[in-house]
Amino acid sequence: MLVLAGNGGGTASLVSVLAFGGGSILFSAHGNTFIAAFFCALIAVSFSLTAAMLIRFSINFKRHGHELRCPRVHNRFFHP
Amino acid sequence: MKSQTTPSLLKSIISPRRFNDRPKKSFEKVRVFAIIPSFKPRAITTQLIEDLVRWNPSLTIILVDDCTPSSYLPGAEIFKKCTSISERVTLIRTPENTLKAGAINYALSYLQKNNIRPDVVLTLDDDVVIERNTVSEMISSLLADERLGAVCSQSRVFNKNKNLITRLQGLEYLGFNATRLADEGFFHGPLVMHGMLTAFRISALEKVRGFTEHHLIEDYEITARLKEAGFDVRLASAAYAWTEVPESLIDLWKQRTRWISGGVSVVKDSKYWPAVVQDIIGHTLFISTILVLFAFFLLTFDFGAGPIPPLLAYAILFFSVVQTLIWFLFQLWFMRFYDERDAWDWIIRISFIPEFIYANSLTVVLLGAYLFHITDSLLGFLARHIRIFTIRGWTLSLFSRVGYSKQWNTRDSH
Repeated sequence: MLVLAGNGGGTASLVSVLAFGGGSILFSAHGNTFIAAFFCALIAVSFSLTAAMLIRFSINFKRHGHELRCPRVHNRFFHP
Repeated sequence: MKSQTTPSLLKSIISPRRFNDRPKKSFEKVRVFAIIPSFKPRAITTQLIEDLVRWNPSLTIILVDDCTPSSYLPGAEIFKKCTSISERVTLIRTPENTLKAGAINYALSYLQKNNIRPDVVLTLDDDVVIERNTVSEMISSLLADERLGAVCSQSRVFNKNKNLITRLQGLEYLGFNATRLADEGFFHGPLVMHGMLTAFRISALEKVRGFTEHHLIEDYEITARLKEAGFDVRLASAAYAWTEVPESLIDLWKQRTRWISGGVSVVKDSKYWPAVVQDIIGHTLFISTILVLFAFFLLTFDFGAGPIPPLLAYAILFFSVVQTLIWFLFQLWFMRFYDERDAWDWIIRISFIPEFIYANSLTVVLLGAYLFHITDSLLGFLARHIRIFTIRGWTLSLFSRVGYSKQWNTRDSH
């Protein structure tokens, strides 16, 4: 999980659920603006990290993506 | 080894550095030794050695019996069967139980004593299943670029059909492979060259002086030190390997407390931040989110509260919803590389909820790890000034009972 979290993706689920809650409260239009702005910045950072990871993935995928599939897996334990 | 400058490391966030893909030497001309630490081996170890011998004619195998007790009856027979497979299999036994890192170090010193210097050392768990090309793909990938100190195989789960917990781990491991591919050329490469199956360049192993013994997560620890020594690491994406994952919640909890608490130790002890950058980002984001939310709810009902600009609220919702959606769509698309998948895996993934609960349950383990490390540091600080040996010992033993400890003490405790 931490490996994913380091790239923004893993934290996405947690951040999102908290943000949904936070966002709803924000919609109630009552709170501390400074903290809300900081919260927004955090989620934007998390979003950027996820985007950066996907960009890196797509660049590396062009070179090695075809290798990710194991053609002989059917002969082993899953589909004997 | 040419070290990377900070600007080039930062550039790698969205533009990963490239490595050569064609090896300068062929696999057959390279001297490769596989070190397999084993404690209470099972039939799967015999299968692993048979496969290694059959598919890799130039490979030599050192099977390290890490002091398997004589009370474990199948042990002697399995070790005997393993050594009878080929003359290329050597069995050595540690004088006392030294755990995985100690057993690998013991094998490395055995090679040194016998004046054997391989080009590449493979380290494997004894319950790994490999494919015909797994080892050759790893060696080719490692030798293709001199900057590489280690490469690891893909990690897949062979008991994933056992129950919901193993299926969730199967999907999780699929994500690990995606992340490792994304992290190729990002700073010094993926965060962890896993202990399940990794190939090390011998010069890299020598430079970092082998494994740190009794560490909770020795694979992450040595990966960080390799990066600190200037080496890069990457996933050998065409090297497939399967491992067995915990099948019960208790075993999963034990494994994850060890991984996550050990991971926090590595970050805490690392002297070179680019080696653990993914975790630094992850921990910073996580802790900041918790603190900000705490402050937000606190201040909402106290001073500083007032109308929030609607734009802020919309921005928060936009970023969180879009991020979740993008990530979810990516997870669905990536299922095409999950060759072991069946209908149940699709249901779990599409329904979103099981993985959501699983990922956020592991957050509890992370919070526990923070609490453990903070308590340990605090008590360590106090112990230098006042006599609190009893309280410290009692507190740490309490943490130990729920899986958190500073060292991996015995095989059976984790």
